[in-house]
Amino acid sequence: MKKRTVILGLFVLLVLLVLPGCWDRHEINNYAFWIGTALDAGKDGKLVKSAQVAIPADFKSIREGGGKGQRANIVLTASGQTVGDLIQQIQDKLPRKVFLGHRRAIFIGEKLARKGIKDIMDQFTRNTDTRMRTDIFVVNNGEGKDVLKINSPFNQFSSIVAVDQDRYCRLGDTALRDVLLDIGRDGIRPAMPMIDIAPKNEQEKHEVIEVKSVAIFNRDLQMVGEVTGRESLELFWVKGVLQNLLIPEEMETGNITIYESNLKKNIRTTIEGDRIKAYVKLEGSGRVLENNTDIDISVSKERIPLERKLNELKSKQVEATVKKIQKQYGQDVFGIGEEIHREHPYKWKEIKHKWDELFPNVEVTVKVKIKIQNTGAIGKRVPGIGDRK
Amino acid sequence: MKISTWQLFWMFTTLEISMSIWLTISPTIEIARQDAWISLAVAGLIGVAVTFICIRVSQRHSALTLVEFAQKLFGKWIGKLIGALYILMWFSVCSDILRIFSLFVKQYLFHETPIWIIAALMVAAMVYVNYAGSVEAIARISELMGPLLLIGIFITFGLNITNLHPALLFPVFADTGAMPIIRGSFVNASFLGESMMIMMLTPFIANSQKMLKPVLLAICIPSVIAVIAAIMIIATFGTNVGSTLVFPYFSMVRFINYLDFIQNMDVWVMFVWIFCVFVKLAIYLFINSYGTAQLLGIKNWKVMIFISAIVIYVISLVPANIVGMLDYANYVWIIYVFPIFIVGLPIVLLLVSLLRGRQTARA
Amino acid sequence: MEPRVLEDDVNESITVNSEALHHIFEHCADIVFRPLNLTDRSHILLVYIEEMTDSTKLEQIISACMISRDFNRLTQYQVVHRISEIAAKVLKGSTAIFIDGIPYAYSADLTAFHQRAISEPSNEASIRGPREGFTEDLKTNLSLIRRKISHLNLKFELFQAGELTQTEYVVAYIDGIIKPELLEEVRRRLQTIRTNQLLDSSYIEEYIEDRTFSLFPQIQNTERPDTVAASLLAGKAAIIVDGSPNALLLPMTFWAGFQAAEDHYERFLYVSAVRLLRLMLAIMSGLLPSVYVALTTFHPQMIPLALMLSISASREGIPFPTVIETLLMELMFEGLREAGLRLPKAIGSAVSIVGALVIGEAAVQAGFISAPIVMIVAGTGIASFAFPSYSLALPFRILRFPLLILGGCLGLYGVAIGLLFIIIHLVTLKSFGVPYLKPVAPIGKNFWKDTIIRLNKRFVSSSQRNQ
Repeated sequence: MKKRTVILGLFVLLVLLVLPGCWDRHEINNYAFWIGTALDAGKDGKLVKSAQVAIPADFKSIREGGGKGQRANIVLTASGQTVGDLIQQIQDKLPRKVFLGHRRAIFIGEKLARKGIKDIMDQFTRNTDTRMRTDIFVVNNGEGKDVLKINSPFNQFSSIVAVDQDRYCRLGDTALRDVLLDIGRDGIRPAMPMIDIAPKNEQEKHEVIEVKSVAIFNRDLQMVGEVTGRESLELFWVKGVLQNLLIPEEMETGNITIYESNLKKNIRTTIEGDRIKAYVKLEGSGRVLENNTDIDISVSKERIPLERKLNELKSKQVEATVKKIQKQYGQDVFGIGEEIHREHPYKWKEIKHKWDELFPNVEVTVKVKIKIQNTGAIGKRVPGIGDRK
Repeated sequence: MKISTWQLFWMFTTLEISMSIWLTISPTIEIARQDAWISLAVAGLIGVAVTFICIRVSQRHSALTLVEFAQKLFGKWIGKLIGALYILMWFSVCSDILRIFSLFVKQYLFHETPIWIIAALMVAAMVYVNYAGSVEAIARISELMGPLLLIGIFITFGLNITNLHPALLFPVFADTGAMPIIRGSFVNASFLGESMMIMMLTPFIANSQKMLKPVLLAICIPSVIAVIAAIMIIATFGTNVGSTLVFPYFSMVRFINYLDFIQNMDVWVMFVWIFCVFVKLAIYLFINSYGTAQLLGIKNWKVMIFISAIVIYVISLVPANIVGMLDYANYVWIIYVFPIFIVGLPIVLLLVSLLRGRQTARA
Repeated sequence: MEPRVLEDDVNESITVNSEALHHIFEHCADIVFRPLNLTDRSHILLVYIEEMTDSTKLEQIISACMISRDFNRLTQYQVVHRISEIAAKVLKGSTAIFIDGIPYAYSADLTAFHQRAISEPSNEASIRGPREGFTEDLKTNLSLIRRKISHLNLKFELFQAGELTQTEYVVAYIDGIIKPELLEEVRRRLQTIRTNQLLDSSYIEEYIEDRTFSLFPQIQNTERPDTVAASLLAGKAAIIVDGSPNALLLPMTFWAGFQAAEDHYERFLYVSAVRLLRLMLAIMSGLLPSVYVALTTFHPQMIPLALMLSISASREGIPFPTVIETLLMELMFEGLREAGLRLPKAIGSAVSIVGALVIGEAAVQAGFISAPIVMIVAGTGIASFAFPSYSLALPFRILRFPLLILGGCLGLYGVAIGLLFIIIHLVTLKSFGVPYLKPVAPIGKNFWKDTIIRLNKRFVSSSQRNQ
């Protein structure tokens, strides 16, 4: 009997404790879901933050086929000194509680990026609501909030569009983590994907963004430069984070395009006195997408010289890219310093403090080794397009 | 019904895992950088050694708890003093874990919910299990929850493989050297040393002569998991982020994104993990109330459950913030408790017990 | 039922006996007194209940009496010396035969009830395996079991309880397989039954179960003789009560509630998969609403963005908070189910159509209730039908509500604590000395053989089936 009263008492106590509570209960539509953040440098040195906040009611009408061209989100802007302060300011503009747990992307205006983003990084990792799985971009020649205003026909949220686009052409949603990984290390400098808003036709206006460049940062998290197009892809390839790429190569007899996947990189380093050498080896397998030459790839006798030639060509190009970054920006975005760290840990301790000075003079040799494994649906060109002599 | 060796294994596995994926990895990474996993492996060895001593001591007095055999070995008053010191220490650990737990749950699941209610619910469950089924019920719960937690952890490990940068683990040893590695190993070793609570539990174990293997295995498996977790965390976040994250394992689980649908798994892992922390706290409550009852000569130890629970609850509410919560581990547990209660006293107890044993054999 | 005549022995005089019986059966319109005057002037009195007696057999007796007074031709008869005893037998359906000049009576078992034929058990149907189910008649039921286990070690111990109902019941077990302690415990507990009515086996269940205030059933019940036989072979005891088509099986474990009889007739791989599915559904039936409420109101970061925006969109303009909404719909669902259960089949389906389609659809259309809630409630409902054992589904149905409130107040932490309390209760629960969660906690040697999964019978010796 006594046991029962005790258990009953415990239960009553539990109920009494719980019922008046509900401190953290918020209905799902009392939340304002914050999908994307844009940070820009304001005029008088202030920080301008814009938020893309979801409007679920619009979302509904889109699905029911109602209003076409609905945005389903609103872009709010506030300016102030710190990121935290700005959250409060955004909250002041919203009838619902700001919820950061679903933020997918951060856009940084180029002006702010060049000024340095050291002071804004903390908030992205500290808040327990947010996740580290966030994409981070620099907006090329523009402001972050312009990206938020884009109204893509594929998704109501331009932030998500940017993340998806990044996933198919560069890195994907681990960018913030990758940046954070690089920040604290001596032998590597962070690089971030960049977004361009440069409409080429009427339809692209306000609807399309491009992810085609990479921003290069220095030790103090200031953006120092950018590389575009194939160079940016090669940068990520040497860095070892790229999964696949598609680059046309100009041959003497025409051009040939190969889709390269299963990319691997391997860097060996040697230190002889002051001379630091790095041997970069890039591997991958290729699938021919376009062949405007007369070479019949299905014939090994012709394919192997082609491969060799292609690899030579590519090696030179990558080498040129590396050299360009070395000379122009002097930032080790490839992580060659980390490779030295791994291979020569004791020597690294002596040179790690002056790595920024040493890096531009590192002699980098690149060797690309792409194996053509798949020739596509046809071997040689369809006869008649370009007759073999 | 007494605790079987199978239950004993799961009991210790759950209570050790719940700590090693939660509190120990981040401080270890801070000290031993990318070699934290070596530290954790070393910690496992230390843990096994320490546990071995504790088990040998308690096997020599398998029908008695620590409070009783200390009195038998050192006489009434010194024995009582040793018992009282241990019990005090256990009270403090239990309160500390309860507090960290509440703060942690508050930080990860809530914002405004006060910690006193989180702690109160936990204490209610602890009291209920001790009152309704005592240590035997706790053993059964750990038998249910241990495998679930283990499966959950391995699933998260598997899903996280795509996020890894193995290069972050290198260079091995060169950056840190032997000293930091050993220093780092004390963190987890001291937590593994919680297995000393076996000295209070031997009378409830069905076959205490066979308990060496399951308990040592229950130290090894959490160590292996800690090593894997450390490797994963370092390869996911690097040493810089990894050491600043307060709960790196849960951050790592949160980082998992599989098929764009399986995300934020940390709450599910936490769901099972809450049960495992519960096992730990409930055992502490059992030890504390049973030990106090024996110390004070109270016949019905179940009365002490309520008093101990209230004491633990009140101490756990002593103000502390999320950083201060690790202070106990750093400034009390590793510096005082580990050398004195986990290494020192058990060795002394073992030696005295061996000596007395020989004397009585001669006499 | 004390006869008021002092003389309880059967008298030589048939008139005295007749008077005594008339006295006992005062105002008992169903009892027939049929005096027969034979050619040799001797008198015979038959006392019986018309509706419980096989009339053709009765005619046979009468003609036997007329011709030869040769009672040996009767298949079943007993000699009875006491009036009270004969009265009790008559009430059970026997026919009492008094013959003038003989100081005892014959009691012939000519019982023929209007009883249900053996049919397929309606609540435990199976696709493969035997189709017979228990009826309300004790003897028929015993014969059904005996037919499956024709071994002399199968024992049927006869008991009687109920001062007024005088109900007979049988404890069945197999000598040599059942643990003697268990049998002793069962006998001990049965002796504590003090009641004047015993109308169904559930009456016994309430008297002998371990924990009165537990929501979980501690004694299994079944309509299937094959389940009983399998359980007996596994060392359990069965209690079969006259007048009840449900046999009790004890001790019961939690996992027995997840096992359908068919599990032993289908192939084991499929059965293992189905059992895992059932376990998942069981967890769903208890946790789905509370987890939904906890996730949407406390942890929206847990839900993938696209899904969450859909939920959020569907909740726009809904007047109720999610907890209340879920609670209302769950109550509604339980109400519909209860209403449909007792109605005639034709109306029952109409009610469910009205309930599910009209009310659900209309509520969503009108914007009172959000569509996800309807799906959650429907999912929970389906999950709760997946239990092979109806009595084990009940605690899950009830516990859903406290968990829902906890989830609505403290999010997943509340659900976890609620679940913790349930688990603590389950691990401390015992049924006749057997831990309720055996063989999972504490682990038993049958864990892999026939609990959550079932192995091929070749790996399992027959005595271990059903735990």
